[in-house]
Amino acid sequence: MNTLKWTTATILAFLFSVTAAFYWLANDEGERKQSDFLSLVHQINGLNSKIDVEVFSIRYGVVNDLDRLVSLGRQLHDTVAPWNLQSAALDCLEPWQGKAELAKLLDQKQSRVEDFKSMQSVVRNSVASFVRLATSLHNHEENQSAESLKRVADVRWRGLEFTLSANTDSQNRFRASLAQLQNFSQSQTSSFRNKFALLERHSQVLLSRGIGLEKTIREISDHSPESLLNNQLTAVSVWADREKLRSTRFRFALFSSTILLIAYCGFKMSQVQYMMRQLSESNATLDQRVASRTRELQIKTDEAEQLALVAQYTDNAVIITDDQGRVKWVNVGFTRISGYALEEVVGQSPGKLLQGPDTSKETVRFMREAITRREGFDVEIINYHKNGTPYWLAIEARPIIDREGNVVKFIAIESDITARKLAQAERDELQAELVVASRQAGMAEVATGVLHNVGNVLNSVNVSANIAVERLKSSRVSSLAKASAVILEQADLAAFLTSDPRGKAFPRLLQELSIHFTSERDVQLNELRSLVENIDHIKEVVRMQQTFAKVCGTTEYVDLVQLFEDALKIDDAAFTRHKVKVVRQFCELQPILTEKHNVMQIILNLIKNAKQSVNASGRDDKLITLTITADQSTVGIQVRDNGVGIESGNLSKVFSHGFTTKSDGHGFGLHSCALAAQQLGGSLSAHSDGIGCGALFTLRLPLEKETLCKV
Amino acid sequence: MFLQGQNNAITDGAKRGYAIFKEVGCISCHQGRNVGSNAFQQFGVMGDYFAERGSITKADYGRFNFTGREIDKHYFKVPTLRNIELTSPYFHDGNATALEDAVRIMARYQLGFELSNEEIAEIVEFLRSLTAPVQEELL
Repeated sequence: MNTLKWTTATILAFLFSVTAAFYWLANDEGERKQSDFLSLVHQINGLNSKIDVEVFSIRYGVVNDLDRLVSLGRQLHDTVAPWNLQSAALDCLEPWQGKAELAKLLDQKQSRVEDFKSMQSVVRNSVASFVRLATSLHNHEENQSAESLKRVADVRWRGLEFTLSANTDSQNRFRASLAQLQNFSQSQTSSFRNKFALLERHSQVLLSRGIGLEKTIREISDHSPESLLNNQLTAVSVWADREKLRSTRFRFALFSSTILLIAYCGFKMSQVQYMMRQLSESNATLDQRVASRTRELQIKTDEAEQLALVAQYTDNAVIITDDQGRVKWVNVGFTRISGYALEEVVGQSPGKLLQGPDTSKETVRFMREAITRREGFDVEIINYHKNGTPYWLAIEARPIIDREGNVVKFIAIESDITARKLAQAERDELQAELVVASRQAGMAEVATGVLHNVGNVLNSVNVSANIAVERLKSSRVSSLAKASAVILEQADLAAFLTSDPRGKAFPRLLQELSIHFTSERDVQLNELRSLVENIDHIKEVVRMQQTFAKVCGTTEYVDLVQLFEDALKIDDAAFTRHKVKVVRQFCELQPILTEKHNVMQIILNLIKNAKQSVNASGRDDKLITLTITADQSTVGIQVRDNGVGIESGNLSKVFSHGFTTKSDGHGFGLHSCALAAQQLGGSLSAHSDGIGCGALFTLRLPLEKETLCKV
Repeated sequence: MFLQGQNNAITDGAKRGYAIFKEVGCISCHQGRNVGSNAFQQFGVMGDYFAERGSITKADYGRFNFTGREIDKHYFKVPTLRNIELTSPYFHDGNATALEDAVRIMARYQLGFELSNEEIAEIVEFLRSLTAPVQEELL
């Protein structure tokens, strides 16, 4: 589109400039300049001939005064004055060399005219005086002779002839005639002589100037600029003809280029019209779109204003940071919560200002990583007020992403949850207390049930026991004791038995005693059998009660680390005594929801086994390693020892009921542990590299325990 | 006014003076609308003024000083006679203070006539009639 526009503009500009150039070139300067020059030439020639005519008119007395001649001279001078000579008309072809020549010629002519005026005045005066004097002489009273009349008339005639013709012949004749009259006048009266003398002086003036005057007049008319001007006129007309030819050519070119320009403009106009039509159509749709966009924008603007109001006046802190997490803006809520004003935090990382000793390092790292990954995050964290007071903050941070998909800033909304946190802590405490209380209540209930049932049975047991006691009290054991003492006193047992009357009664006594003891044993046996039966019953009652109690364990949030520590505390003294080193490798872990007592039972079992194992090995570097690991869904609790280890063949049996490697073992511990682990939704596994290589027991528990109550 | 044909514009003496002015030939140089002032003329056509006056200065060469032409020696501009009464002293050398003296000198050296005192008086009267108040707005 742009290229097209440029092309069009270039073509138009080119056509325009070509046309303009042709127009300029086609301008026929020649004709105008020629006519200008012609009129100037006519003016000069006209004035020139007028001056000539005026000179002749004055010479022959047609005109008396010189005013007109003077004014004509001034006109001619003005016409060819230097500023006029520089006119374009004279220089149309090129600077005209003849200009100076023309000026000089006209100057000379003017000079001759001045000479003419001087001479003409004198001559005219002398002619008038000559005529007057001659006439006066002719009519002189003393001059009546025919001779004198003839001479005076001749002089007058010759004088006038010379005055009019002014050539050498008439000059000579005039001079001769004058000389004759002079001779004649010698003989005349003084009055006549005086008049003649005056006449003679004027005649001399005429004689001396007449020829010069004629010559000057000739020179005036000879100083004509006509031929000079004619030459230039010819040159100019030749040039003008050439100009005309050239301009005709360019006129044709101008005509062609104009046609071309008009045609191109027409073509472009039709294009533009077509585009205008299209444009107006698209304009209509555009208008509609603009209108709808405007509406949307208005809605958005309102929304933005409202959002801005929310951001400005919400009780929550609002922070806008750049992509590096440095503050660009905070609202009033931020200042209220943190104590820092906008100017104090701009350009800083809010964490550095606000975090303190009790702030969870884990959470801070999590936030930092999220920012590095350009991801949003939701955390709860302890921050510190400007005055040092800690408070809980729930931070909801989101990255703002521009069109190119780059994170340009983060917006964080932080709410003060200190109150909630405190309330929750209180609630948790209360909950724990309640759990303990209910557990105790439950235990009391169980105890009551057990005691009731057991009490009943204990009655029977008591009765049986009392009977047994009574029987034993009345037992004839003392008679036997007496008899045996009597026997021991006798020095001669045989004499006693044969000679003594008491001795003679002994066999009979023994027989009676044996009969008595036999019956007594039977009775006692019966009583004891009944007692055993009753005790079995108690056992049954207790077992029943246990089953009943196992219906659902109490689940609670358990801090496994704490649990481990508690378990270790129990055996603490034993470890010290046996010089067992305990290594803890615990990852940080949120409390998990599980049955605390079951887990505790398992841990205790495993630790006990490990302890026994290392003790049994008798080695010096007794070591138990406790590990807690966590992945997405499970928590792994491991107890590793470097004790006696497990034979690989026994690995599969360790969890079987009754299997034990210990001299005083029951084979029940690990079995019950495995069951408990199952019940918790987890698993218990064992590993050993063989005898003497230690053992590793791993308890896996789910993080989210939902199937916990499955019985 | 008189020169334009209005007969009663000047006195009779002045009219007689004008007649003499024409007759003796003053008119041949002092002519035209301004009664002179439109040509150059030799001082001393009918007599050698400078020789008789004596002590010739450069100013006496007149137009020669400007053109350098020998024939222009002692040529001066013919002055206008309008307001001539007011422009004393007269001639390029200021030789004449009174108008009468100027007229006499002019007649003697330019025309070759010796005029009588009466004639001179009448000519002077005519010349005085050529005096007119200066039209200031034309300046």
